Amino acid sequence: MAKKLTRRSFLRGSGGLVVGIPFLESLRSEKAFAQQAFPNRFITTYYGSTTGSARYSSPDNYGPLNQPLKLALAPLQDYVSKLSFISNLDFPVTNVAPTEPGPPGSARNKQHAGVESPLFSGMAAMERVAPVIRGTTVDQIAADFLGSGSQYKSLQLRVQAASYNGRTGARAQGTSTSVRAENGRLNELPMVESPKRLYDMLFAAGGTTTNPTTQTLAKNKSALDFVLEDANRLIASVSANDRQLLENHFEKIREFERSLSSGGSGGGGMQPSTLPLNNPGPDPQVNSYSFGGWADETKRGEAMADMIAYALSTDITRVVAWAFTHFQCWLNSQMTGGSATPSGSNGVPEIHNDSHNSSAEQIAKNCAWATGLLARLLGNLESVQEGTGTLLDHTFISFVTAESKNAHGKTNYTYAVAGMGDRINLGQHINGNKAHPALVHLDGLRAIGLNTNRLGEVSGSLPGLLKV
Amino acid sequence: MKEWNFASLKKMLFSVVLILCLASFLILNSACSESGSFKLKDTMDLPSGGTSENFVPPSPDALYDKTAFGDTGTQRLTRNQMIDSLNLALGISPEEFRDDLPFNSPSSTYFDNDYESLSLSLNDIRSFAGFSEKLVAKLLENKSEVDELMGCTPAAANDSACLEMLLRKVGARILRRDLTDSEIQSYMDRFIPMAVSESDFYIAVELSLLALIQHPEFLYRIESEKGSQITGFQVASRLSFLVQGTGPDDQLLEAARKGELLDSEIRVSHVQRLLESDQAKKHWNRFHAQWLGFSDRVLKAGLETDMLTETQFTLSHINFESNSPWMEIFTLEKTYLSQELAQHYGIQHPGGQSTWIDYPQGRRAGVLSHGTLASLGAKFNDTSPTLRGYEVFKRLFCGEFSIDIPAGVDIDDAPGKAGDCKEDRYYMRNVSTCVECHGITDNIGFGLENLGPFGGWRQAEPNLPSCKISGEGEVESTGFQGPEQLGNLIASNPVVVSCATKQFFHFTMGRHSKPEDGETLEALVGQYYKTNTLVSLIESMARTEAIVFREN
Repeated sequence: MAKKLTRRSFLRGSGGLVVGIPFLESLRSEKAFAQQAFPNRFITTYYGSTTGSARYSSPDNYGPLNQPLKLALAPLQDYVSKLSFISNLDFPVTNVAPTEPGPPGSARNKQHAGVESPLFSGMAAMERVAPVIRGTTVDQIAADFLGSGSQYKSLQLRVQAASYNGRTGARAQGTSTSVRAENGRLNELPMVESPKRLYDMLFAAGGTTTNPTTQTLAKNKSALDFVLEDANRLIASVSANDRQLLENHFEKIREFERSLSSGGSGGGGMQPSTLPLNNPGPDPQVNSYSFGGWADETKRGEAMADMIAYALSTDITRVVAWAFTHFQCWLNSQMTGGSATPSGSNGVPEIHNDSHNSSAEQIAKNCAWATGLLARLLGNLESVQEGTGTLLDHTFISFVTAESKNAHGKTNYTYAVAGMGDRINLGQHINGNKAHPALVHLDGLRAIGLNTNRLGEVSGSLPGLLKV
Repeated sequence: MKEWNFASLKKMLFSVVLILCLASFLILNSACSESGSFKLKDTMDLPSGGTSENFVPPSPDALYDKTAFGDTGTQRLTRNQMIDSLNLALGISPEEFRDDLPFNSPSSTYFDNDYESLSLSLNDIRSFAGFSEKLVAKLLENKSEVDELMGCTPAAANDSACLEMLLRKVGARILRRDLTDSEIQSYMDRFIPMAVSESDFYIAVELSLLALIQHPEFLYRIESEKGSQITGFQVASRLSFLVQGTGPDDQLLEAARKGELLDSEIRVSHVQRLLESDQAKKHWNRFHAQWLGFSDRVLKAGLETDMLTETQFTLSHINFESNSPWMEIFTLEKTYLSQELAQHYGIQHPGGQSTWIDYPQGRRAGVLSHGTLASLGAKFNDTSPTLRGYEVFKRLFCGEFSIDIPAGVDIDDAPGKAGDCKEDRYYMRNVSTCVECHGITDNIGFGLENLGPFGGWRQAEPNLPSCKISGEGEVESTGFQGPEQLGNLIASNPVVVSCATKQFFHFTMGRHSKPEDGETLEALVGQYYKTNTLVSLIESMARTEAIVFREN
């Protein structure tokens, strides 16, 4: 039987090079949490369908939120003092051929997946070219600004376990709302759909391994140290384009090593969170990839809401892109009380079909499923004390949807923002005056302290959202 | 009749189709209840009024120029390539850890190996790490197998000679080249002391393998400077990935060591040897599964394996066992069926094991009749003639339209009035503003309507017995009835051959074709028509001087 490896032997074996010390609980920084300035955090949340009719969604009047929230937004009722709604937001739209972008910041006025590019990157949509989003997304801009001290610069997560459009494997993974322009190309950052995998990432540092021992992590670090030492030889031997690719690869290995060195719990020296966090266990199984599939997404979403709050509170990350669903989501809608045999289209109870064919009430119920998960996250963030405030006070959160009040709708959106009360006017229903919906995100960047005038092709500010 | 070739076809079609599509774009309205978003991408691929009888195959000569491959960027191994390469190198299958590997990047081709869409994230690095840890841990569960792999049994924790044997043999398989003496020394200098410290030789094995599997020279297919001849080991890699989607085996590595792979005849002999392997069949079945679109389809519950087996047997039979013309995958008059699948199709089975069975005359032929391909038209709990026709049009004819979907149209709404027969519900091909696209897609799709969502044969629409299915369709102004006749039309059509060879190019080069690849694409068509087989096309890629040269 192989003996266990000691940390000492690895340090000896590193040949005198500077090697990050494998994480050991006893060695973690004991900096007093209260003595630190609390970092700002940034979260985007996304529901790939519609809030539904104004009758069941947006507040009736602009100004202070002093009426009960309607069905689609009702789960957020407990947090009205910590959030604001912005309505009357319109995308510029275009019908141009799919391989050409339209006017700056424009959405495609037809099918689904027509708004993600302008919404998250400010770049006009241009479908059928991967990735769908055509510029660096707002979460990645925030990650570059906020994320350097954390273990993960950002996390990308999605609740919906599969696209449920009849496909399996990689094609079922759908479009990420997180994209980076790197090395002259756009890289779509895949979204983690497995709560178990997220848990492993937060606690195991090795990501895909199931509770690897400190020895396992140390071994892999030693192996990667060895690979890194070969970088110069390899990079010098290849052509310029390949050099760029390899340099990027080696840089990612270094980033990974830094995350190993910082351990699996906290990247900025902050204390363990006061939040209790249970291991979510094995993921609920995806039993069907066809329309109307369901893999207990409510349980998945709740686990993610808890883990996101934990990750933010311990500074494992400061930035999260969280999608509740795919765009044009075919997620089963019976869990929200929908008919088992709805009329129209494919006759399957699923959110996309509902958005076209079901009652306004059912469409709002579907949205309430998403806002319910958002409410759980807000509650978690609010429960963590940070100085004289809470974690929610140091976090900007957006809630955006793919479609506005109806299927394919690209005008008259109602979006929400929460947190960062020292920078954002909260407890309000704000008239967006047909401004570009991406301004929610641009103002969010300003709220976390980034001095910027532009998100992709979109510039400006939402009237009344930011405190002057 | 006027003779047509690629140049004249391109010129004529560009004028006619562009005018028609632009006109349609201007006048399209929401009358089309189901449509697609298409663009005119390459008129060379579009069908026209030409016939196969007067088609003149182009010359294959350009394929043999050393610059024929054009851009040859650095490819990262796909999930399949990593798993199969490590299986070959280590003798154990990493299949159980497949989900630990990063997903392949989104692709601009039908295939999973498009290096131009490659992305890399921190999570990818984590995934490689987790995958490597699990795989190496599994290998080390059985030390005697490790000893066999190395070719020695370690005498002590510091048995550097034994580690050297591992690095020379397995290291070469993983990195696809020999390790230099100084590299081997650096592995030993680094990892033997750790093994000694813990009195366990296998720690050195574990760490060496972790480093090798996560080394960029395994993860990427790195080649020499552009504009130069590549090394023998790199030629070995190109050949092996071409034929079987893995790193080279020991025989290819040995041929590279001896400098033999500059000889085209020796290269072809290795290709012929590798083509005999099950791995080659698996690799080319994957090509077809991704090109034809069924690789990630959800198939009929309980019959998934039988359906995939049917198509795989057909592809292997045509391409590798009978060495028949490649296009006969659309015309083969028999198929390989289990009893259950035969029952689903409505075909008589003699009983017992899966076996080859002749199709009933006048109905089915080739893969178009299989449940795998039929599933591409599944929609609305039935089939969509538009979707099915579009899949055939884009995958087999490489067709695309330039017309945008009209505002207000939703392709996810079933067209027409529920309860009407499909001939009435799918009215778009009879509407002047929709016919440019639907006249192509729906006319193909209606010809396949006898096939249900998973290939079961039907005479009437589901739950609508009065709605009889005629099975009459049309492609390139030629009428046909059912998948058998469509298969025959497709197999004899040079546009389909042009499309198939273009997909072959995308798959073998790991990228989408570009305008500057035009001569090579035409030459591939010419090469195909010399023998009509897929195998000869693969061999031609090994024979050309381009395989030893990195142009750009």
